[in-house]
Amino acid sequence: MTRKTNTAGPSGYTILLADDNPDYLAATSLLLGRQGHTVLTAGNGTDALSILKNQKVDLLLIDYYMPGMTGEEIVLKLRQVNPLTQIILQTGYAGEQPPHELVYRLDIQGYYDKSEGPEKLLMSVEKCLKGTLK
Amino acid sequence: MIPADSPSVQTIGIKKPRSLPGRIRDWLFKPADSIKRQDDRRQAQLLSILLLAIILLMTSGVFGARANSPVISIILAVTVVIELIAYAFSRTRHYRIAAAIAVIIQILQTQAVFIFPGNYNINSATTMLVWSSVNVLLCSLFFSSAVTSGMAGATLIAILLILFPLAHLEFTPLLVSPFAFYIGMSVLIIVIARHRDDLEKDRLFELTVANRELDAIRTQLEERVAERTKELRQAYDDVQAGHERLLHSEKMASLGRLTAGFAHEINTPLAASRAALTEVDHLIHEYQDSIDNPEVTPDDHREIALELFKVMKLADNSMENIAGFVHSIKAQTRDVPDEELLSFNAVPVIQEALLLVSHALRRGNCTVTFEPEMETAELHGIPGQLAQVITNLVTNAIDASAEKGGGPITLLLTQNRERIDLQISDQGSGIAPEIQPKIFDLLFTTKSVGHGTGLGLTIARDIVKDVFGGSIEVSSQMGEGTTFTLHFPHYIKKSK
Repeated sequence: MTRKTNTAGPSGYTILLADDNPDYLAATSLLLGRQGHTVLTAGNGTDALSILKNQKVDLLLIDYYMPGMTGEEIVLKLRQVNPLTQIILQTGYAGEQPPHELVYRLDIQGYYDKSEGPEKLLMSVEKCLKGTLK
Repeated sequence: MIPADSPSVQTIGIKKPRSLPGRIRDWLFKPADSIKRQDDRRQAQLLSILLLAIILLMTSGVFGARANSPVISIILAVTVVIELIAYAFSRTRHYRIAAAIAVIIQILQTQAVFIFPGNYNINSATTMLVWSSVNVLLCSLFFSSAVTSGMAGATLIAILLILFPLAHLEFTPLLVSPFAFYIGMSVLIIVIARHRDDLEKDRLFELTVANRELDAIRTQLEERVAERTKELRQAYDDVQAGHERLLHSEKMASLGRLTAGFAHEINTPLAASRAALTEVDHLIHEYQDSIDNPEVTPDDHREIALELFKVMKLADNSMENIAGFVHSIKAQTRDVPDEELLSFNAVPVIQEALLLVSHALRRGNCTVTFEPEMETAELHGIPGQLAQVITNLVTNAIDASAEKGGGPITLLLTQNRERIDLQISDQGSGIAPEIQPKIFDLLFTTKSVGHGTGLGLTIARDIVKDVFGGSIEVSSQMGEGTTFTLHFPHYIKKSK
């Protein structure tokens, strides 16, 4: 069993992916996993916060609209205790809030519109990871 | 203006045949004003004929008197009778009075001839008869012409009336009194006639002036009405245009809400599919690269195929979600002409409408439960418009709940013998009692500019009322929540 996978070697980064759509979690995990990142997933805000409490996470990729707690609320809570974790807010519809204003207000590193495609996501992720303190 | 055929006019009308006592009553008491000019003229003609008869009788009476015949008394009596008839035919009040006095004097004169026969010779009695009868003739003509021909004729006859006795040379004490009476009467009648004419002229003048003024006012009024109508039409057109603009802006706002919902519902599974396809791409490359590679075993290939299959399934699943969502939208907005009302089951329509607001529900941190009491609730109307009402009310419920950080929204569908009720309740901020009466008003909104058009509830009410023949009511407690209740009538099929 020596498959010629074109998976990058371990990057050493841990990414937490939070979204209420299980298909999206699964597919995006595969996408990010290919880049050698360790991907953790959470189906809602509460799970995401408990993972963040117990584990070192370099980047949080979080959906804006989630049942129970919105991405914005999670970010605000997280920022109270952890100002360093890189955060990318994702949304299916970027039209409602200007991304620049959101990035500035919530002290996050990126804003990803799901319609922009996987390439754009990987680029944003790489940019953010490069900015992390190791 | 009284219509010509109204009963009030008919009772006055002279053409209407009347019984003899009725006619006599009319002759005696009917006021002059109600008599027409034409009738006066006819009456004057009749009087002339009667008076001609008097003259003839008088003349023969004179001859009879000369022969000292008792015929004279008969003739005089007949004269009096004819004069009485003339009186009866005279309808004008002052003529009647004058004629009555004339008749009395005539009787007195006649009686004088017989009471004091010694003082009169046959000649003086004859003379008296002749001139008094001529006086009566002139007087009658005068009265009738004063009534019919106006001043000129009346004056002429009055002059003759005065001149005639002056030309008579034999004055007796008994003759003096009627003579003075006739002169006085003539003057009086001239004064009355002149006054009457003046009055008529004045009235005619006033009428002409009033008529002209009325014409001017009417023209002015017509102009003003036309002007106002034009202004009103303009205002109506403006309002109509404004209304259309507002409806359009509400449509655009709804469209914006819908688009946000669509985008979110579609973009997430779409992104999942694209990520999965990226993985497919990787696996295909791996598969290709490992062909003919001795190190890669068939088991490895099987594993790659299995992974491919899984990822394909993932992508397919997401695509299916999108397809399902699009299908639900299509079901809501299916091509039903706007005006076509149909009977439909409200339950799936409500369920589909709730799907459309699921994005907004998540954003407002709200949950929705829909509890239909029955499987089918048949309504008659336009399904898409019911969905619009539900979307509007649930969006409002979300907004109200979001102010309290979210909350449950409940839809309850019930029916009884009279109607079908749909309750939409939230536990949001509530509506202040003072603004509750205004919430259905056009353009009333408490939301900030760009977030509310003030049309949503107005349109919801209009749809429930006009399209479904139902009604909508609201009950709310500040800080506790709000319940909108829609009442729909049961649809009764019309037999064709």
